[in-house]
Amino acid sequence: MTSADPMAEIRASFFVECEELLEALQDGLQALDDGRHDEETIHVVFRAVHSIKGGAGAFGFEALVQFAHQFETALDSIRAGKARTTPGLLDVFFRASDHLSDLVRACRNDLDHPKSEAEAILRELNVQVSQASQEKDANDNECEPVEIESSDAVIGEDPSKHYVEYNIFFEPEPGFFETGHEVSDVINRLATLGEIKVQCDSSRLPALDQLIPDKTYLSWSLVLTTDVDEAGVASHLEFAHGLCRMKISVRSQCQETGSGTTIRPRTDDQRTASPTPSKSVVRVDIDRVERLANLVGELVINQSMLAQSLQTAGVSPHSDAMYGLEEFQRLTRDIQDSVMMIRAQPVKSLFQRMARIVREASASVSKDVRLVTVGEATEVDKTVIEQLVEPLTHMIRNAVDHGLEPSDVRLAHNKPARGEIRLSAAHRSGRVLIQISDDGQGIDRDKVLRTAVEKGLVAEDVAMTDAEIDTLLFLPGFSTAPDVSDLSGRGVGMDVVRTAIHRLGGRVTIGSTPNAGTTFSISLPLTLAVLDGMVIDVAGETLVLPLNTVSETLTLSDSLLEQIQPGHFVVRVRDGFVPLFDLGAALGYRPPCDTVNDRIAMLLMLEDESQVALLVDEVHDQRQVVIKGLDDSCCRPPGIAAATILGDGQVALILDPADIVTNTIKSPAPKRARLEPQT
Amino acid sequence: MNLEILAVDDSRTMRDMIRFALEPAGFIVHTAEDGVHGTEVLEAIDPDVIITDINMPRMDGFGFIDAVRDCGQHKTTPILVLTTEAAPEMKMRARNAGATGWIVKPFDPAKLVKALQMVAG
Repeated sequence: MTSADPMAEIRASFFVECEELLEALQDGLQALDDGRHDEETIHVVFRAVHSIKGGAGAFGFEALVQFAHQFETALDSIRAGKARTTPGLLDVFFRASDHLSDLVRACRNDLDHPKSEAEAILRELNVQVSQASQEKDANDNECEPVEIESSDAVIGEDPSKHYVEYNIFFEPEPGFFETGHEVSDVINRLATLGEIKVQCDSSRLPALDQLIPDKTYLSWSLVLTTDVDEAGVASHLEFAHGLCRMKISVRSQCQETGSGTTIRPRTDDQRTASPTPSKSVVRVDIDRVERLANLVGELVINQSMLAQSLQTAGVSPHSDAMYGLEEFQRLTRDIQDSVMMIRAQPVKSLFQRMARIVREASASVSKDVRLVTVGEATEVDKTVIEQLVEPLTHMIRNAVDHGLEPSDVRLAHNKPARGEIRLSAAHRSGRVLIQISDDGQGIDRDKVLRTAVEKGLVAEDVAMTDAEIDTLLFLPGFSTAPDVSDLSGRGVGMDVVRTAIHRLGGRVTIGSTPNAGTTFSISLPLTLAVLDGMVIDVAGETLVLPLNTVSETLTLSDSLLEQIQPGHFVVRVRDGFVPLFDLGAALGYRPPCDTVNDRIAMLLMLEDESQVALLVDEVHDQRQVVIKGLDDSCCRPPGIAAATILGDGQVALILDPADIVTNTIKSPAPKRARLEPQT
Repeated sequence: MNLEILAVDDSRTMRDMIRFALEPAGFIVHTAEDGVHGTEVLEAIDPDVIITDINMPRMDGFGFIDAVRDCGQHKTTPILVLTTEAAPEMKMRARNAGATGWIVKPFDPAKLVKALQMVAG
């Protein structure tokens, strides 16, 4: 590391550590809340706050130190068994931990943080602690901030002009040496206070043959002239107390005049940088990783171009050149995976932020809500995680505000009074699936439909399936909240969420059961940079299908096809039927084909585990492609996820199969049918 | 002669700070993350001074001082306690365990250097 300012580096590392400590704090509090805690939990929580305080002190973040100190004091009363954790106390602990993370953020960004909030939380903290205290000693909870000035316990410098002469008698006992002390240290230490005269009394020293090595025989008499008071002198010998015989007495006092205060030169210049030793963790600017990822992307393109030109040149697939190229391909793949691994992060931090949203949102509408998280270790591209904060926040707020009923309604429906929101993440067929579900009232479809009709979003007499009605929630400007609450319902609801998810190459779907709850599922690509694709031809256009959706290639024949109505076919695949779509027609490249016999179809498995077959003209090969996002200025056509550059320099569009099915095919046929064979 | 130091602290920031304060002054700094780790590190090195925190996971500072004083090899190695705690009973406890000195965080690098040079003799 070659940073010019090592202090700035330690500061940065302090904030990284703070993030980890805050995470541990959150985990610990959550465990206490869930009743999953053991003896160690409270210590972990305490140490997290304690370490933040320690580091903050080193950097002079006063507000943070003060708050952390009082928080720590409250935690200590639990740790020491003086108070028991009550729900009320835990609640304020959570708020205090939220505030602590705000303060950390404020310190990192050099921002001021309003004191009033801290004071309110601390007041509440004190109230709760004293309530929880079994020993009702209110004074215990009166916590004055501890002095965190650098202590002079070891070396003191207190310039004043009042000089005193002390007589100090000093006789160490064996324990003195056993605890690592040295007489010379003590004398040197005292010598820093002023002028010192030392005399050693060796009269009790026996002859060598009588000397017992473990015993002490020597004593010292010192005369110290210093401006430090007696307590100050004693404090320098504090650690020797009980380990030696010691007497300090004032010999004489004298007033020094004339000579000004001497200020000792500080030895700050010792701080000049020396090579920092190697560490197991390196912090890297995300821009550099970004650049590396981009370069690897270019490498992939280059490599496929090379492969293509070798092929065109007629090089034998068994030649050394081709074997070399295979190796090259494998390496490129490894590099790519490694780069992706740098960018991947567990979603835990994201989920913890959501835990806070739940706490705040439920407090503001006075609902009792519990957040359950599953799959926190699931790793997702860092960019994706960052971009998910906004949409998830919105969805969580929606769930608290609209999804969950008030406690009395819940009780009337035989549900527990406390609502539950479940946030889960998992890897599913090469994508990440994030679900937010609540156990609330479910979507009121009548109301949704009514509102949509009122707002002129759908025609009055249209027949819609439940799923279609649910999807209306994503229409711009749709909001069913009867009165706009503090939390959500500003009319910029779910369409913003959907746009944000789409921008990440993801999709969001809704499932809802009346009285049982609503589930939003977000499906996202693992990475934003590279894709394994199947290159296909349709109506003279080269397109790329994401390979993870392709389950097999079918050659269609009459025996496999059933026409369910003119122009709509299903394909028999083993024990079921799968709807067949004409890709060329769906994308508007050509009118629908009349005959599908002997044509090729790609059988796709979508992430909701439904299957579709897409009619294509030709299948080329499977290949890694670098995703080049389509600029916002060119409106993203339905069914298209992004574009790529192929080996021959040609641009190809990357398809989004699920989007093709939902958004480009206007078909009265059941969209994701799973028909039983009629035989 | 370069002094060899073992700093035991569970906070990475603190370990970095200690390293940053001491290495430019010519110290050789070893670090450990808690008491247990500290005793393991001590098996391989013979530092001139040990610096330890009090609040640590697995084995706290008191336990660590006990462990160091109990094993013959480092019986007389000076141990400085570096902590945010300033309560007299804590100091007393640390001293009874066999600590040599006490420094309250946050520390001034120059003072820490001086203190170390002094106790190391």
